[in-house]
Amino acid sequence: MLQVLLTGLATGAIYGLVAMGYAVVYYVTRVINFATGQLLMASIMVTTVLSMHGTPVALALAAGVATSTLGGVVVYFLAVRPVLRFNRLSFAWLVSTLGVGIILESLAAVIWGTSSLPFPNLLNGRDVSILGAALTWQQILTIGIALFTVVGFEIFRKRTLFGKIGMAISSDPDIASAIGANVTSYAVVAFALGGLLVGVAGILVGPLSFANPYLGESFGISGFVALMIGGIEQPAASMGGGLILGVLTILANTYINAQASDWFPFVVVMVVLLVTPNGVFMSGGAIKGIWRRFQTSRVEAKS
Amino acid sequence: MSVATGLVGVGAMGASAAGKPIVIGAIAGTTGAYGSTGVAVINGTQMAVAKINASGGVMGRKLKLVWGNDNASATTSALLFKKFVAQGAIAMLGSPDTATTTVALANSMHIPDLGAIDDGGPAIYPNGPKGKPAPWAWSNSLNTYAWGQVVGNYANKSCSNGLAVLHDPTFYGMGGLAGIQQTYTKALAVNDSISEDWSSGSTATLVSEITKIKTSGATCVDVWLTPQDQATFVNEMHSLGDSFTVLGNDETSADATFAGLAGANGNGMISAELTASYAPNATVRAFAAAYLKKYKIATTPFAELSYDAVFMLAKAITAGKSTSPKSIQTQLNKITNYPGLTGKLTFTKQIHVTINAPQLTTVQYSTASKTWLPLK
Amino acid sequence: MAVCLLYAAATLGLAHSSNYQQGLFLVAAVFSILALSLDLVAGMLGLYSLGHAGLFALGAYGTTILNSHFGWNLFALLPVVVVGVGVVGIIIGSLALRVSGLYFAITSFIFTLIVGVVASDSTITGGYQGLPGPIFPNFPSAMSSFGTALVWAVSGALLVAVIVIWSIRSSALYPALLAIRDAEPFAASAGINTALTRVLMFGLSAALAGLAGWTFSFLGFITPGQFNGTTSINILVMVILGGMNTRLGPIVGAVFISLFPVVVNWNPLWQEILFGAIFIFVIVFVPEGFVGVISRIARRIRAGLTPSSAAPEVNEPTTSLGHGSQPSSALPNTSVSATAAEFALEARNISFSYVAGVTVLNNIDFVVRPGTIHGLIGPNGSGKSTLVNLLSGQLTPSKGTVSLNGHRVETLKAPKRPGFGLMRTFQTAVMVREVSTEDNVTIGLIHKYRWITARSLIWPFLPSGRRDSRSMKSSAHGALRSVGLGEEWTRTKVADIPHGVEQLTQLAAACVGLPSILLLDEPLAGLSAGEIAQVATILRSLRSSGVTVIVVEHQTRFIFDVCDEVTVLAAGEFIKTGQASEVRSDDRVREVYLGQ
Repeated sequence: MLQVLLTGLATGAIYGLVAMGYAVVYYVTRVINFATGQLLMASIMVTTVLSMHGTPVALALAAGVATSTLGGVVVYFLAVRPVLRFNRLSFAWLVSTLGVGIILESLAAVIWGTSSLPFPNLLNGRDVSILGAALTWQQILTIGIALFTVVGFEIFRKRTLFGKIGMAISSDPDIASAIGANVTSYAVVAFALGGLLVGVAGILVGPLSFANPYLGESFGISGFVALMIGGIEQPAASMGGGLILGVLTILANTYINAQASDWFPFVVVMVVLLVTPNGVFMSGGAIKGIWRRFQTSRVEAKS
Repeated sequence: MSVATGLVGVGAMGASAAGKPIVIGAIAGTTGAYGSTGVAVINGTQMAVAKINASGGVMGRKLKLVWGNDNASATTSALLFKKFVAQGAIAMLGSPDTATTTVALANSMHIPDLGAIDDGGPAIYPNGPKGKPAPWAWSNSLNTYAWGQVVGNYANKSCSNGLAVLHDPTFYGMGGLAGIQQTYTKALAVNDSISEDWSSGSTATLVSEITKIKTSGATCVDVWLTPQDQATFVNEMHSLGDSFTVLGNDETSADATFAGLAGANGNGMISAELTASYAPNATVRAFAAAYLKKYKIATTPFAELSYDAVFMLAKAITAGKSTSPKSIQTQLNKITNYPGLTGKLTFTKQIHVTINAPQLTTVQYSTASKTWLPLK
Repeated sequence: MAVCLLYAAATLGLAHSSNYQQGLFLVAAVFSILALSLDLVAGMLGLYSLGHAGLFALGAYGTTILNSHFGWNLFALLPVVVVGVGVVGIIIGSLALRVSGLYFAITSFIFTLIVGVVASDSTITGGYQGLPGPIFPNFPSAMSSFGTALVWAVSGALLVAVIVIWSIRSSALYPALLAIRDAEPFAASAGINTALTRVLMFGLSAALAGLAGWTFSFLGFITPGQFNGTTSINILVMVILGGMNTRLGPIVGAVFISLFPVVVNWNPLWQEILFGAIFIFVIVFVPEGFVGVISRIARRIRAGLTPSSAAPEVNEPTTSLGHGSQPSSALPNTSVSATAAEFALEARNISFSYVAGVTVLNNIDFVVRPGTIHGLIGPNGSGKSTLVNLLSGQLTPSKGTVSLNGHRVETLKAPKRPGFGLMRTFQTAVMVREVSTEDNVTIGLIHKYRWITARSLIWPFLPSGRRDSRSMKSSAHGALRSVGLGEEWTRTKVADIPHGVEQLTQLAAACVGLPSILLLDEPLAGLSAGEIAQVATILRSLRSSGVTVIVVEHQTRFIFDVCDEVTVLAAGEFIKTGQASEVRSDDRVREVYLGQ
């Protein structure tokens, strides 16, 4: 059982990072970047190709993450900013960010071919035994980075001026200009952060997924589902959603059958949505809200 | 790595004095994670068409190839099939990814379908290897039944502690399973259907499967999944400190994908190859050299079998002196021991796949030499 | 008529063309139907559904399995599948109503993924390999000059979808749908059952998706890969790229996206890159989509030809509420007829808290005599707005009763109140910005006409539809005139009018349905002195027509000038009610409110 939990957390940490990639961007700009999965792919591809040509691994990893970070900014300027300038409430960015994703995918295939390439293997090696469960160093690193990311992000959001203004913009985009904040710079940072997060996810999952131009779609969807489980209002919550999705997937794989990971997480998600439509970790907490409603009805019943 | 440029209508231009060109269509997935297979199919087909036209064509008429990328979509495949028929195609080649669609349309529109048909197996024999084949489809492709039989035979001899099989739920995996169960005499220790991620070709983790196999006591496992997932399996097996005897499928040694991704962990992986490719004769070597020169990449069995398919089609047209579908159908079913790149190829009314177990050599990967060495 | 003949001729031509062109037509038509159906809920109602691929799958698989496994007749299957998928749509609609916007999109996306998984993993659906589709029967040889029967069937299906969607666009329901999307409180107070309308429209959209599925099964083969999450996103992209909430946009987008991979035969990878680039360029330069490109060009041409017009003036209001002809399919107007009730509006013992323990209103009595102008004032935080929302049905009181013209209504939600003669306006006027003032005003009339939702599906073809549109328009003109907005304002989009005009339009929308009780929430916010005087005149003329007017305001001079009776609240408690002069000079009131 511990094995399932740990493996699930390691898998889910990746989904969570992707979900956070979506969430950070949404938080500040109210936009869902449909090229997020392809940015993850970009970091894996760049790392792989550089290392295949002899670049030292550490440098290749850094280059990969830098690529996806920069890629996020490019998506903003190319596909999001012009659309939002026209109409802040339009959903047209769905089409334009999707377009960027399509281009990234096929461009990668044109440059590097359609077949999978090996990712530089750092830490996979042998497993470590933790209380009877086996985990690779890569997986341990993944879980560690995920926790660090969540904590780091929350500190950034709540303690720094930048983060606080980000929160304000998130709850009321009109405020930004009123308080003299440059909306563009906040958006750029948000998109860059989103790219950074999925870039890190990429270099963590690379040894398992190998490098292929077509990776983006499935990681993008998994991250999206994780985002919805955790709740979209808070980026930190989406990591929780990812971890839950990861554990559910491995649980289903282990205890039901290998195909159950197809449907089991979704059924759970549907149930979750029916009970807490805004995600498990919605602001204030689902539990608090239910408790409050319970209290109100008890007060009414008494009077 | 070069990609075949997609120009519709490759082949000699214009008609010879004898008549209009004979149009043949080809459908394959040249984009997507398995695009390299489709590219090889189209390349091999193009080389065959060029060769035939250089020697005067078929019945004095040139061959004209029209082809399209179906990107593994049944909708696109169906539309392309109809498009090429509308352009006058009298036969179709493919598709490695949407065979159920092309075979279904071949059967309903009475257009012969040959070549790289979805790894053969259930696409051609929907009722199992002993049933009747699809009347209008002939596969030159790597037959999953054949490879499965080889795996089963090996397991009979060398897997005294039992055999586990992990396979994907599509025709591809089910065909392999059926082949294994044809020859492997005992019950399978583990028989699990694993959903694969087709868009990227790799599934997140197979750890729980490895644990299950260990628990069952089997020491042999056949991983009938994509080369990417086979590599993931051996990697995870290695990191868990286990070592089973791992067997693969028709794609494991067909190209460098598995070997490249598994690296050192691929040592000892067992697969099977076409004897004709493994121990090539002069013709095959010449083909490989010409292919490398033209396309700047190494040949694969998918290119060779597509090449063979075009030639067999040409032979059927010439033998019946007609391009009518019924004539081609009859003549194809009469071809015996045609000397192709992939071996001695035969079609009959019952036999609609060219590759069978006896034409395969069991091989094992050695990381020391980075090659697949024969197993006795 | 000419269009019909043209369409029939085109179909005939296609029915004789090659298998390939027929296949192209089938795919393009099917996706056009899907895009049109999605535009209904996404473009008009703002429900971004990513579940349409799942509904599409249900239609296609349902048709195929019931036909090949169970031998059902294909034509009998058509209504079965359409209604069946429509019912599924109604279920999804009701479940998902609890959430809006992004969450609805995600929930519907999960639905598509689940349908995909079931299709991939079940044997009856053929698993990953899929199933061969049914073969559409051909015409009997006597009719063979008509060509392939399938083409006529596809053509017919497309025609049905186009007729339904375009009819809704031309119907009286259309502004109401946009109101549900943009200004839900406004729609609800105007008597529109927003929840029910949403569910019904989603069900209709799903039914059309089922129709698309039935038609698609004749392409030859169905596999789970044709109905995955990407397909759902693609349908939405078709709508947005083609032009959201337009007649032709969804069709243009559908044709482009569904046929591009097949028709364009250049280089597989580079044409994908081109595909993505087109997405970006079109949306970035013309966010309204392909159709937007055309309309921008048309607008440039028109602007070049016509001289610019001066901004229209707001007139002095007419002295009476001349409304034009009475609506003929209206429900009998029980409200304005003489009621024996002592009070037009009677609220007793009203208590309310938003959160347990924090009381916002404590045991308030609020009564209004018929035919008076009654003011409601109080300092900030007194609970005025809450009381207004309780009276109009946006909120339900924790305790107490509300009666309109003698009928108890406190348990009824907002859309039911206009039926008892109550109409209200909002502090910040939110109406549908993209349609004209007259269209916004017609929203206030919808609750008076029968069967608008049902008739909207074929509205332009119904004599009653055309007749009702005419009478609604003329009533709307009359209402606008009565608040001082002349002909030059009626066609102007609400997005283009100044704030004062917007407030007056809102007032017209509340009056057009001839309410017996009018509830105005801070109607003077942002108005100039001249506009305020105009409002005073309007209220007085309403009173002389027998309408009871309740005004909530901060501007006390206006209140004491215009109102007959005034009620004062402070901190959720009732302070005083009575004649205006009496209240004005009351010590308690001065202390609590006027600060004296």
